[in-house]
Amino acid sequence: MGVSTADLTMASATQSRTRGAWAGIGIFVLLALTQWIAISISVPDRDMGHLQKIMYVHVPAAWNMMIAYFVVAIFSLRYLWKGQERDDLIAAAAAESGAVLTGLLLVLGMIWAKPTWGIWWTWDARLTSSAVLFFMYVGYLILRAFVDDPDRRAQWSAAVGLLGALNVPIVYMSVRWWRTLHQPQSSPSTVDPNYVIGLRINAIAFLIVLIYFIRHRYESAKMERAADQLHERAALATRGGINA
Amino acid sequence: MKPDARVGEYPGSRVVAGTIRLPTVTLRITDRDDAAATMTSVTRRFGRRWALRGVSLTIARGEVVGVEGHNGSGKSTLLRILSTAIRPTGGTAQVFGEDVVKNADAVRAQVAFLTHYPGLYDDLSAEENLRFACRMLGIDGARIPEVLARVGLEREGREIVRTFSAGMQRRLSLARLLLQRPRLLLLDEPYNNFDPAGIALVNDVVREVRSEGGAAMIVLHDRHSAGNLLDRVATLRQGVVHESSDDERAPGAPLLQSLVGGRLT
Amino acid sequence: MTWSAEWRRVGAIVWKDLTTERRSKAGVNAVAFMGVLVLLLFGFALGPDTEALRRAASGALWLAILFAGVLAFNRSYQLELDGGALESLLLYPGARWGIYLGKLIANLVFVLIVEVVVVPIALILYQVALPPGWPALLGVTVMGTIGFVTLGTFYAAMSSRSRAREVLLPLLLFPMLVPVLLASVEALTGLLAGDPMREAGAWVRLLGAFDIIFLVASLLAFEYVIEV
Repeated sequence: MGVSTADLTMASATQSRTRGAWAGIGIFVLLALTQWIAISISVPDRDMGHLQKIMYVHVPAAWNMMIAYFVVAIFSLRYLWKGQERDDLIAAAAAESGAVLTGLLLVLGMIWAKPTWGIWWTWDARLTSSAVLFFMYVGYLILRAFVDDPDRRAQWSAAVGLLGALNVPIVYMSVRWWRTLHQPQSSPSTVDPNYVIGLRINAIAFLIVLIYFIRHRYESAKMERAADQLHERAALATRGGINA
Repeated sequence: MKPDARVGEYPGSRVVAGTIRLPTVTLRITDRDDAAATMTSVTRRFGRRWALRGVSLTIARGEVVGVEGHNGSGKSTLLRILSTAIRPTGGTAQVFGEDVVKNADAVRAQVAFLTHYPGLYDDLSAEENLRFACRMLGIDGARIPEVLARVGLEREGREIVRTFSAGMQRRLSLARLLLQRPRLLLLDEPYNNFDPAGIALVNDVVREVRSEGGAAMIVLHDRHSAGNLLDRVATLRQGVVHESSDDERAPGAPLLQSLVGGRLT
Repeated sequence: MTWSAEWRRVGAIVWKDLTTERRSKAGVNAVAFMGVLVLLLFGFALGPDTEALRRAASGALWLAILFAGVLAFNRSYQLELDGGALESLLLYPGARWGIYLGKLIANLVFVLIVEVVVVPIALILYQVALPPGWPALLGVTVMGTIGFVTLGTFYAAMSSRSRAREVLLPLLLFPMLVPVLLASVEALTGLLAGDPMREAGAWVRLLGAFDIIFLVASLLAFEYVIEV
């Protein structure tokens, strides 16, 4: 099986949890730093003023949301190919992180839209596509919640994750086309050189946060599975019978 | 015993096919590779519940094995794994040498599984159900009248299955099984919902398959209905085989059974 | 199994599903009525203004088809689950994609029959005149339906066998259908308005591409969801 109980003795578990805690603190400090840098070096936008600074969370969240989906796709494929439970757990962890990022993205998009255009939602191509992606993530997670058998859950999630990932570029493309027909593009410019540095460093900081989240979630899932396997061992050990 | 016969499941040993003559009984050892079905340390879980917790057994060609046990002991799961309906969580199983996971299609071609639920389409007639089965099996429907007659449903061919009693549905399932000419029969409580004529029919079919070199595994609640059909009965309890008794003609057979990898007669 | 044997299996499944559906009587009628009901409700929701209705016609029609269609997909697997026939179905030797294709074709026929009822009623309720190029309308509807049924048959294989099947199918299916829905609605709207911007053709081509992509992906992935 994919998880070895050897690496989960009490001492090593506590050790890795402490290390994880320090890593987490470090990463969040890093993120706060990059945010502060980006906010202080960037000039208020002509039209949007300081509201523009929301971009430093919104845009990196968008990029990393896509990366999370990519991770889901890769590990789903790997699971279908190799059948190792570990791959399913990583994909699920990535999906959860991706769902959170997408939710964040949508909320920030709405917060940005209200003062800019006076309405909460504008059917902007990228935001709308993100909304669809959010539902795809959530569908994946709800499917997992409703299936008890671990093999079935892993296999179904992998198939759903892969097809979902396939749909991501298709959704983006078709929604963008749909919007260009009815209304000109309305999202803020992200290529202004003033903002690029801020965006880049925050994107990297968010990526590190994403990796941390996925890793952390995977570790807890691993621990659950290890507990499961102890349970298995107990169940099999006391069986008796002529083959024992 | 033959001096150079090496037996058992000890490392480095192998089952030797041959005959051992003892004063009161003749023991014939079947080579494991020639078995109709083998299971090695098969486990199967459903969520947190372990239905099978390490089952190893062999069904030799020409053997009819009964499986007894309380509800929830794992009997149906055993059959379902051998039929390739589900995969084992751990361990391996082979049917006529083909692995149930890796060569599932080859196994399906040789196995017929009679489930305790009918597995039929209620809105189709008996004939239509069989015709569907023929097309799915890739055979033509020439034998449909013959198998219907065999199970005593020759006059109900056009009737919709929804109108059938449980016994009639069971007969139709049996008819479908006969279309296949299986080599391994897996019967899950075949005697339920059956009158004596139906029970005799099931046993006839089992005898037929056995005489052609096939084998059968029958899950049952009481051995009575099987008459003297069973060569061996395994008792499952909580997902493990607890006894595997031959009939009374071979005293001490269980002990020898656990030493020898193959089947004893 | 050889190709011809495999196609015979597909045909057998199509025949079995459609015969069962025909005999059960309730199926097509109930689903078609559901579709018309949705159209009616949308009409109420949009209000009696003719212009608003005409503009919304294509969208309302597709939504009616979607809501009615999801009922059909779960039903198609339900008939396997009721008598425990699914396990028997999986024990016949042969490829899994054959089962998928058989169910897909049967579902397609079913939904197309429902559309024969729903589409004319939509045109009537939403006061849309039939444009001269109406065969193209038919073509677009069929293409959109293919995309819909392709994904619906795939996801229903999972939802019908889990808890909360009624909510799980729309939840999984609808986000996946967004591209197909957009393309179908845009193409249909363009055609109904006489295609003033020549955009409909491009959407139709996109729709065709979507159909092919999703069909291939579902065919490949089906064995993973039906086996376990």
